[in-house]
Amino acid sequence: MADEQLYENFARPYRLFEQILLIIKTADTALTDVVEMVWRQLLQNAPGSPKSDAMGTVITDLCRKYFPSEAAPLEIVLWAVYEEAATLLGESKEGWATRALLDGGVPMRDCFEALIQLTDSVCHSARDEGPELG
Amino acid sequence: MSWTLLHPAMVADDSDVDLQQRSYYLAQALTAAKSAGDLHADDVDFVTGLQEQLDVCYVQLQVAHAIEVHGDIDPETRHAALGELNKQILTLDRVRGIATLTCHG
Repeated sequence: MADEQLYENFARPYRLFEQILLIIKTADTALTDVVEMVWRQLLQNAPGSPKSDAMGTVITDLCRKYFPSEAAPLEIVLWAVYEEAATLLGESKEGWATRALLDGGVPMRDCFEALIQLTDSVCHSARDEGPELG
Repeated sequence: MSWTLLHPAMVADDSDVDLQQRSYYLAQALTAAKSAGDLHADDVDFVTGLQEQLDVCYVQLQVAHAIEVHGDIDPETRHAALGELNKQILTLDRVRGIATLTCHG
């Protein structure tokens, strides 16, 4: 068997998204682009309705299985979760996405710190792209 | 030590032993090795190697199961894929090789 076969020949072509997370966790390898794409796919394809409940169940389940590991780096997961949750604004009670993360075993403090980092990076990007003052 | 005899024969590549059985033998070997006590440096390496193989074997089992229940794979392709997965257990280094790949397409 050639190198990377488990991922390249099986998990990737057959789009076995959760198995990709398992491979990344086991390999203990940082693959942020892949992780973000997989989390978004799993959230968007969450089965059931209302969509926020379905997505919340997926968030909790994935966090329980993969946090903390390279398959669930908070700075990636939070970004994906809150962006996907924003597509459902008004559909469910406020805070459902955060509750799902906490139910999945993500500590409140870790959540808070990752959010601060995200907010800082967004603010920095906005400032860098803003009009020059002179 | 007698428990070291469990490993190579039972889980050799391309043997008739399927993945499920390999995981069972690996788990048995690991349990026996860990309970042997008084491990030397070589034994610790061996036990670590067994643990890694068992971890990867578990991942392969999950991938195999997902392929088994996948509705969009035709029977012939499924059979071939499962045959490949049953043939050998990958090493953790090989799994780590995914870091050189991307997931687009």
